[in-house]
Amino acid sequence: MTATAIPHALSEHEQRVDRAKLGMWMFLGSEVMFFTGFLAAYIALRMSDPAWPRGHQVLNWRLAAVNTVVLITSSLTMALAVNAAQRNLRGRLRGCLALTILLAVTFLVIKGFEYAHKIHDGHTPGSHLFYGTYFLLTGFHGLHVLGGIVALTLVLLLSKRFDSRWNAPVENVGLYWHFVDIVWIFLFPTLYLL
Amino acid sequence: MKTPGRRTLAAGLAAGVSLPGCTDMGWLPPNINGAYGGTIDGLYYKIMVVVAVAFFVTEGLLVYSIVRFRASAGRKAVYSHGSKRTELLWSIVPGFILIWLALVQKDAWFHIRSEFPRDADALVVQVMPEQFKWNFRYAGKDGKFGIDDPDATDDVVSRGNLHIPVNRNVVTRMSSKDVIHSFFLPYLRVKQDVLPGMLTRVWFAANRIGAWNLKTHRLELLTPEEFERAKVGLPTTFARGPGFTLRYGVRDPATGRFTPQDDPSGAGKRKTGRRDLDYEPPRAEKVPIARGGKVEELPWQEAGYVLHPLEIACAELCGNNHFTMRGMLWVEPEWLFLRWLEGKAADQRENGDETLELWMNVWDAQHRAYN
Amino acid sequence: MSAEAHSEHLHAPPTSFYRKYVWSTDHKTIAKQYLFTAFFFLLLGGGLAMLFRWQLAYPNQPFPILGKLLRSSFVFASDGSVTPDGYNQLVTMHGTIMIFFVIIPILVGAFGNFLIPLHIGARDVAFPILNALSYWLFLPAGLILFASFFLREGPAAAGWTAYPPLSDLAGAAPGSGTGQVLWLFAILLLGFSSILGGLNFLTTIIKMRAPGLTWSRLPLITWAQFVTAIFQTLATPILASATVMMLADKLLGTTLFLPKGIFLGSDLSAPTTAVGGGHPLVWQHVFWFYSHPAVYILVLPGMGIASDLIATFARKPIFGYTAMAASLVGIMGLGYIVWGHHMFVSGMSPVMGMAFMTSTMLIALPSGVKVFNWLGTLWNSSIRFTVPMLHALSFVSLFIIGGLSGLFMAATPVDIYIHDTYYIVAHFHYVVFGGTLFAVFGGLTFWFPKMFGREMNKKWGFVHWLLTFVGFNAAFFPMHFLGEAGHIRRVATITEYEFGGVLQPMNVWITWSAFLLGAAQLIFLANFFASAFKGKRSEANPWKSNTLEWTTPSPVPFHNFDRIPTVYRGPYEYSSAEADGRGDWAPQDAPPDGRGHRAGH
Ligand code: HEA
Ligand code: HEA
Ligand code: CUA
Ligand SMILES: [Cu+2]
Repeated sequence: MTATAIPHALSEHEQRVDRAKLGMWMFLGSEVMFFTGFLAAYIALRMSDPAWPRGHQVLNWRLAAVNTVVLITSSLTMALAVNAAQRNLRGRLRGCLALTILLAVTFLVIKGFEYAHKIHDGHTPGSHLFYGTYFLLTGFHGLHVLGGIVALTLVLLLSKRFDSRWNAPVENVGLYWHFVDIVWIFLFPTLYLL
Repeated sequence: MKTPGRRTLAAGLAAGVSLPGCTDMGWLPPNINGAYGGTIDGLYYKIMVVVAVAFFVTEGLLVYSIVRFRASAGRKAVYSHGSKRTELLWSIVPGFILIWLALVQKDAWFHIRSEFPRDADALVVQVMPEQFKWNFRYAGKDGKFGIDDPDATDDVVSRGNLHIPVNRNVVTRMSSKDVIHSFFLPYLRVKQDVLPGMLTRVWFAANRIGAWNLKTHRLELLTPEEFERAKVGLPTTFARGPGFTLRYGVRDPATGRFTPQDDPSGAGKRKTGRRDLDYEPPRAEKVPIARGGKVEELPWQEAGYVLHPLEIACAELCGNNHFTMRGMLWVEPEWLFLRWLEGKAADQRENGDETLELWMNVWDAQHRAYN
Repeated sequence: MSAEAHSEHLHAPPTSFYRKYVWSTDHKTIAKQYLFTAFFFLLLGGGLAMLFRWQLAYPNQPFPILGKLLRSSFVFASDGSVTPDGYNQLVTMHGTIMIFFVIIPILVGAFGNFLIPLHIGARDVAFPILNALSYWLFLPAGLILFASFFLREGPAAAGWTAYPPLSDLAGAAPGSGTGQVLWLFAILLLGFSSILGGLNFLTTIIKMRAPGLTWSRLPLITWAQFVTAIFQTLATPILASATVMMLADKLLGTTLFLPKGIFLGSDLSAPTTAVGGGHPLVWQHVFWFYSHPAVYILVLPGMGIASDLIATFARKPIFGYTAMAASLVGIMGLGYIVWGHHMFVSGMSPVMGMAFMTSTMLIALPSGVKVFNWLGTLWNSSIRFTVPMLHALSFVSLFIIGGLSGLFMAATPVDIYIHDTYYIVAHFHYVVFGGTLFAVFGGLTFWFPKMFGREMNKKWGFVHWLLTFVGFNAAFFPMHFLGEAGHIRRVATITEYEFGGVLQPMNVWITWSAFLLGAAQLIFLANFFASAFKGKRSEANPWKSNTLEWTTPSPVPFHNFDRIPTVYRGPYEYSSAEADGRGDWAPQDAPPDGRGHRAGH
């Protein structure tokens, strides 16, 4: 065998960006599988019980709809943040990140009200399997939102370091945040409407 | 280093694969499932043939290469990246064999798992295992179980002992009281997990009757005809009165002498590593003996056999005493089975049964649909 | 390219003890951390096996010495024999430790970390800090599991498969309370560690290969690690979700795996699970959806190691390189759709049983291709019987046995009979010990010079191999016979059963063989550590091997390569015309002009 042409090597900096992004995609892949496990169990359990409650009859779908709007908006502000980073607009980057965090917190607060109300009514995870899956799925999504808030705050604190050349962390947090958003867009109709 | 390495590898391989069963245990144990047991064993041997060929070809080539192509002065490996033709050959041929192997299982699998005899043509038994016992329930004469049965009291329940008539299809409808157990009848090649909150079923038919030969001190599996020709004593556990008593202990292989040992997993095993059993002659002069279709009181010396139960094992880890979860499978001629069933029903009417409440509270109250 | 190599700035090796040995981000150090931790668990898991093997041979007899010392504690009764709950706990922890804390960490944590960067000509993995983090998630996981031994009710006892409701209901078994919760937390942490490791390796292999190292020039071990990493990244999260769900059942009171109307114990007044609605089979599906791919995590790197060793010591290119790589991918693809073969008697629908049987049969195809290609490699070769090679050849011969016994179990009607018997136990010890662990021993001996700059003692290496090969077969081959005779698994003694009486002598034989096998492993460990300190110094390329790790000194320096190498050919160019006249090997980085051949530094 003879050597084939040596491919043009990327600069060290480009390589770092490249790896970081690839790593993030893989991470999201594994996150998808994580939620797949839950959803598969949910579907199996739901299908084996003909008397499974209808989400819109027992859950507060109005609040959840508001939350959906909140999250989608936060995805938008996140996209704007990434865009700002790429264009070196640091002020706008900070503003958008802060807004995203604010929306995320809003989501959790609304979720908190929802939970409090349910528990007050005696609907705990152990009261019925329906609530078990409801708390499990939304709870894990909530934990991901919380993780997102932490990551976003870190990026906000370090925002000095990002510019049009180096903004992989912003992009990655962005990817993660869109993922969290998409999961919710699946969960909302599955749990609250169907 | 080189030479001993090669030699021991070859010798070790040979020793490893030919290591014989160094005891008197057989290959597959006896098979008395007349419904499909033979099919399972047949498939087993079919796979064995395929696997044996694959085994001897591959291991043979391996050992041959090890011996033939060892490094030696002047020997040089032949530079080659392989041959597409050969590779294609050894992908396609095994591929067909494997697909064939899956297809030959198909009929047997669906026969065993889907083609149940109709309830009317079979004896239906409900099975409800619990930590660490087996519970069984038979419908009364009306063929109905539990609370949907206008005459619920005619159900016959039994703990630990499953009695079935020989040469008749049996369907078990099973659900667990607590954790997962597995209903395993080694001699019938039957195994099915039993889960809580869910119904599972199996069917089978035994074509042999277990009987302990009092002369050879061995378990024999008699055909119904052989059974009727013989004089078969009844054990105390079955006769509910005087009869032969089962004892565990150790038989000295040299002298043939049997020493009973009361500790069920007793001492002395350390020496022989095994546990034997035998029947003790009854104290009473006369004991019930089955002969030619009826039970008579005869002197115990006349019996050539004792009716001996086969075993039900629990094959799923179900808690600390999982290993003790053993049940008895009594295969009997139809008439003896009916005699047992009636006797048990009468006894139940008189004395009740501790497990009746269990069936009503757990099975009937929770899983009425399983009746 | 050289301009590139010089422009990169290299960090100086760390000097503080903490950065050097504790929070090290160097892939070679992390590999050793994994390795030594796994050694500890191998002793522990193997030691547990010695304890329960004693009980199987001599039921309810006091365990010599240890039983007397620890009477009425640990798994022992007051007379020093193993208690029934103790037995289940031993088996459960043995299986869990061996799979999750020995084999996976050695294959992926130790071999993956050590070899991937060296084999692809990189200075480290893509995310060194993440890499350190994976180890520091793995260690606490192990400690949590270990801690459960010190609970009063003891560790988990529901088998390594942890089927609910036994594992899910605290009252169902002594270990199903806190012990099971710790088990679940340990597995969850380990899962995160595994996922981080997996995506790290994937990124490393995809993005950091040296110039010229195309996919078709990767060593097969790297291919195997790549496929394994995909499994880790995309299957482990399923296990994580399963453990989270069971934790929710145990700690939050949900009933995902608990149907209604379970009654534990003799109290019939009210069911233990009044709410219910859940389903135990959901756990089984989710668990096996991970754990079947996991058994291939347990063997693919072993196959990779065997491939490299066989090519090197047969002095011949691997037969059918493309098919070897493709079959790894094939095993991965099929590996995702066969999980149901663990559930043939679980109550799953017969149609699904048929589907799973077919896919399971088919997975023998790529495995068969691998076996045949190894044989093809040996054909017309020139075999050197070094210690690593003996292990590699044992791997092939034993993997065949283990794989073929899998076909019996894949056949649904036959599996009805042999499911949950010692036939299964024989099968998986053949693939996992006979296969993987032999590959591990071979690989450790082979790459030892790269780790410690010394060679492992050959004589003791040979003794260890011999005793292990004999002891292994003597212990595990007869288990096939036991299984055929109906010996169920996970039972503290089979003599409770009448049909088990005649099986007992075989159990005694197996136990003594297992003791021999266990003792042999102590020889290995002694040899390993003695050689690490006192062994003969090794040159850079003692085996005359082609791949990149042999172009750098032994032990490997901190930055692996002075200059990132350029790769000119595939990894297995042994005995080629190109190499003629200068030995029979052609390092991957030697320029093809015929003059670049280097015998090492
Ligand atoms: C390294 C781990 C490993 C590997 C590689 C395998 C490989 C295989 N396994 Fe195994 N398996 C386990 C680990 C592994 N297994 C474990 C741990 C369990 C038990 C879990 C538990 O319950 O605790 C288990 C259980 C298990 C079961 C469940 C049994 C039961 O509980 O009832 C089944 C059933 O189908 C099975 C099948 C197979 C098959 C078909 C393969 C195939 O991949 C094998 C393919 C290889 C070959 C077939 C040999 C080489 C091929 C040739 C020489 C070609 C020519 C051959 C022919 C044409 C026939 N395995
Ligand atoms: C993955 C790898 C792996 C490995 C390497 C092993 C190694 C061994 N296993 Fe394995 N085993 C499993 C995985 C493994 N096992 C799994 C997954 C199960 C199923 C669990 C379940 O059912 O849930 C199982 C179950 C299992 C059983 C079935 C138990 C039962 O069902 O009741 C048996 C029985 O003999 C057994 C025996 C052994 C033996 C003798 C070894 C030997 O090879 C061990 C050799 C010994 C050593 C490597 C260590 C040497 C150390 C010493 C000598 C120190 C001694 C110290 C003291 C005694 C204090 N194992
Ligand atoms: Cu019941 Cu094991
Ligand atoms: Cu499997």
